[in-house]
Amino acid sequence: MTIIKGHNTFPPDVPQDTLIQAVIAAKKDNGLFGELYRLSVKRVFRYLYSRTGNREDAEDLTAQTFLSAYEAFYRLKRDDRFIPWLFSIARNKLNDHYRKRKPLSPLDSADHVSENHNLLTEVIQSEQTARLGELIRSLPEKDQELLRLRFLAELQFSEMGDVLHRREDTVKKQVYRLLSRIQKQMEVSHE
Amino acid sequence: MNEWLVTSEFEEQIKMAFNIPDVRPEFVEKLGRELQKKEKAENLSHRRLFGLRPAWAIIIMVFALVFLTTLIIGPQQVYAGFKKLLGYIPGVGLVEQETSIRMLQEPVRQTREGITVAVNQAFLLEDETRIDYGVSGVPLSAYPEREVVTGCIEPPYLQLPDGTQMDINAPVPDNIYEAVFVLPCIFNTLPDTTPTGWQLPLIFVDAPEDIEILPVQEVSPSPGESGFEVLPTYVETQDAAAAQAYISVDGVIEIEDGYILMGSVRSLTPEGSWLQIIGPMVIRDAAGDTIQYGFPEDIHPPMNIDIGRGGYNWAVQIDGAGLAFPITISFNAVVISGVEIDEPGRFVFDVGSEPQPGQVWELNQDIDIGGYVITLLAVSAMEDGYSFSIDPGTELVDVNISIEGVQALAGGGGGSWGDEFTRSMIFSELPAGELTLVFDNPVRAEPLESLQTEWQPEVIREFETKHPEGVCLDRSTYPSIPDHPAGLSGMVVVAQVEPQMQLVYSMLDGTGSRILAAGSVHGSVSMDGEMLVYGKEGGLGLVNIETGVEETIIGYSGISQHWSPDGNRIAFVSAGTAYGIFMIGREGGDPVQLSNLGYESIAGWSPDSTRLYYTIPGSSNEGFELWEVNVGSGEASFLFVIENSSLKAPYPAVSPDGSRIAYRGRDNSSLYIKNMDGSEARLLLDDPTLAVSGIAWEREGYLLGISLITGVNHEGEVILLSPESCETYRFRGVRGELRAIWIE
Repeated sequence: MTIIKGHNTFPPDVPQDTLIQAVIAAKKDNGLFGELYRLSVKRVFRYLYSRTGNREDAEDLTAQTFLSAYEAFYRLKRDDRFIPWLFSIARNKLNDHYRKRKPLSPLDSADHVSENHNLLTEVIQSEQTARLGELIRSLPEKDQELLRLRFLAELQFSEMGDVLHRREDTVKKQVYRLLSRIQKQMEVSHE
Repeated sequence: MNEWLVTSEFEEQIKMAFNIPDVRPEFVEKLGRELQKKEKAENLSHRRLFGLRPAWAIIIMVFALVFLTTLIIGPQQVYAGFKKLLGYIPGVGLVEQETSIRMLQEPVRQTREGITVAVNQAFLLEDETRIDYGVSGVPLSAYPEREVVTGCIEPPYLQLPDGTQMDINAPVPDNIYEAVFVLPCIFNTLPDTTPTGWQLPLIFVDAPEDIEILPVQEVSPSPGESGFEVLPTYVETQDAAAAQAYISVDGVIEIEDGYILMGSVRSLTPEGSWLQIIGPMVIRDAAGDTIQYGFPEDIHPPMNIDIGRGGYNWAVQIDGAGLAFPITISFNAVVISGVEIDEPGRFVFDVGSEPQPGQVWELNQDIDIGGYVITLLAVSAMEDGYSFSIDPGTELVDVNISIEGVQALAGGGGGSWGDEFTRSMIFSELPAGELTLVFDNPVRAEPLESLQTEWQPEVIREFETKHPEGVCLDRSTYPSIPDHPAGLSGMVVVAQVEPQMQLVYSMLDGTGSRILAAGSVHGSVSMDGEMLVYGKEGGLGLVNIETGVEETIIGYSGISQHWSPDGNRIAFVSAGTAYGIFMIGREGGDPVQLSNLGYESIAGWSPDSTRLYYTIPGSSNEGFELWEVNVGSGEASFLFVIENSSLKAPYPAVSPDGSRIAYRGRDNSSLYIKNMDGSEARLLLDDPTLAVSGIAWEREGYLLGISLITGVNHEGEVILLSPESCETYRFRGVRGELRAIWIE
């Protein structure tokens, strides 16, 4: 596999500046919270779907997350921490969800896998991606969570640190070690 | 390899490997509208403060100061700011009391290229305009796949007769009775994917003079002051809880059938912890009986109140008939916080070299996690994993469990908050031998007494008790459903999620149970009861129910599968590279595309297998729309709205004779039945249990099988009901979401 020097900062779909500007605008005029919603709803849904494994619960929790975020928005202290704050709410909602309903819990890869099978089997995945998916699902929960926050929620390392209550450096090392390990396992299995 | 060297390509692969589907644009738009409504409600309260005459403004500011003060000095002095300034119009929401209102003469809808834009209602108030519009029938393919790509975001506007363009929420001059609702494009759709330049002419009329604006009444802490009374019982009975949380009723609306109550749970928890409300609000009458309540969709509780970490604003609607006052409103809550530990707890445990599914080890082993002691009560082996029964002790409520060095494929669990709970893990191979169990991430909870308050009107009105005609079951009659008689025989297919996702066949009494398909909960049984079709990786699985022999139609899969009555074709919904309903022959072959959305729910076939029925979210809040498509010509037509249907998933089921459709109601716990001529639906099940989880007609079409989630059966209890006579039987031996039922 060709290796090139990788990113230290994963580029999210929405630039940080855009988000900060949207936060500042929404603080001045709460009618503009909708813009923040628009900029972040897909990330929240993707993350929650990966945790619940089904669309209904993911949508329910996404709605709960944004409604709570809207109500508590004025308590957001730092304009540049909207995303980690939002994902902390999402994770709290997930905790509520599991505690109240006690269905299948976080990993729920089986659930997840199944719906994917139903919905997405027409997607012709490359063999490599399919193998990678299998490998990810076999990871310990905490490692999967790192990947979810990084690649589905598209959090910066500092934001992940906020959400996980860890130092940015620590998170960064954990993610890159994990990626390295996955990459190695992929190379081994490829051989 | 250097650990810091990771290609962006590899990162992208990881993202793809999660295989997360797109968020439904309808959902995004709906939630966006919900947030918009909240914004408007809040803006309204702001305008009230600053738009009133100074004297009023001063009074309200005083109230505001009082309110802020009470947050510090105690809940018994909390006041809400309603003070008869707001009124409520059912279906509209909160409005200023003294206002002139114009409304839409009649709903307007326009359909182009299968997409419908509808303006369902409009209210023109003095200081704002409220327009309820909706869009339906937009294919998933019209939306961008990635959020970095944004579709059209041009907002709708109103065009007045003189050409003036204005925001749809801006107040319309009071001499204007006509306008055009202009939607430049369907929100977030990509160029050239959907029609643009929508123009819907609107005609407004004065609201009837007798339109009732119900007052929103402040709830005062002292009896008699405003006609309502709050008894702050938490002061006497909730000392422990009062320090960290309290509940209050802030406003009341008297409606025709009862009351709408608005209030809040306010959290005063310290930094680093938060209030966790456990379970739903419970309302009991003076006799101690639980009262059913609903959530008024058009009311948004006040949001400009600091409710603290984990606090909660609420608004509920209760029927007045038969209520014994005062009523008690209560929540259960704990204050939770994560616990930092240096080392996780560990326990080494030998399951032997060949653990067997069903094997149970009673351990009762205490385990220390950072000074907290939990008890591992028992471990049970399953086919592909283990289930752990844990007593979290008195201080913890949750811990994470894993097996060192063994990667789980999935996990699950169950139990009641604060009580013993189970954790399950599934593995690619059942781990054997000596296992090191690791317990970490403990969560501590400080229990609070139930938060409660009492409320009663000063003048208790008399309400007529309503008994909707045609209802077969409700909460009071559900417990008395008899077990099925011994002479009744037949089969069911249900979907279960415990211990794994699976489709299970059994006799009506639960005997002869066997798994037809593992890893799936979506499936359909052919009319002759011989074959099951289900979605599996890479295709559709066809299982001979009697023999268990399975074949696969490779290459096509999806959800909401339905066999045609003649058994020759299978319809299913795809949302992969192709979107919509597809039909494929029993033997495979090229699929035929019948629709293009990707989120349809197939409701059934016509008896002659020529037409397929399906539902889609509608352009109004009345419910999902029922459509039919001629499978020969591909021509689709709108039939009618299935009124009061669940906005989440109505589980539509057309009877085998094609004469009726059954579906889940708006509250997700009721069930309606409606003739296919579109005549008014009949409420068949009136909220008998927690939720309806599956609906299937018996193949003759006279009996309706329903699975319901109850307090003791989380997967679903199956009943069989005759809509004509209401004769109903319960099948205690069966659990799961009903997929098929047939009587021999």
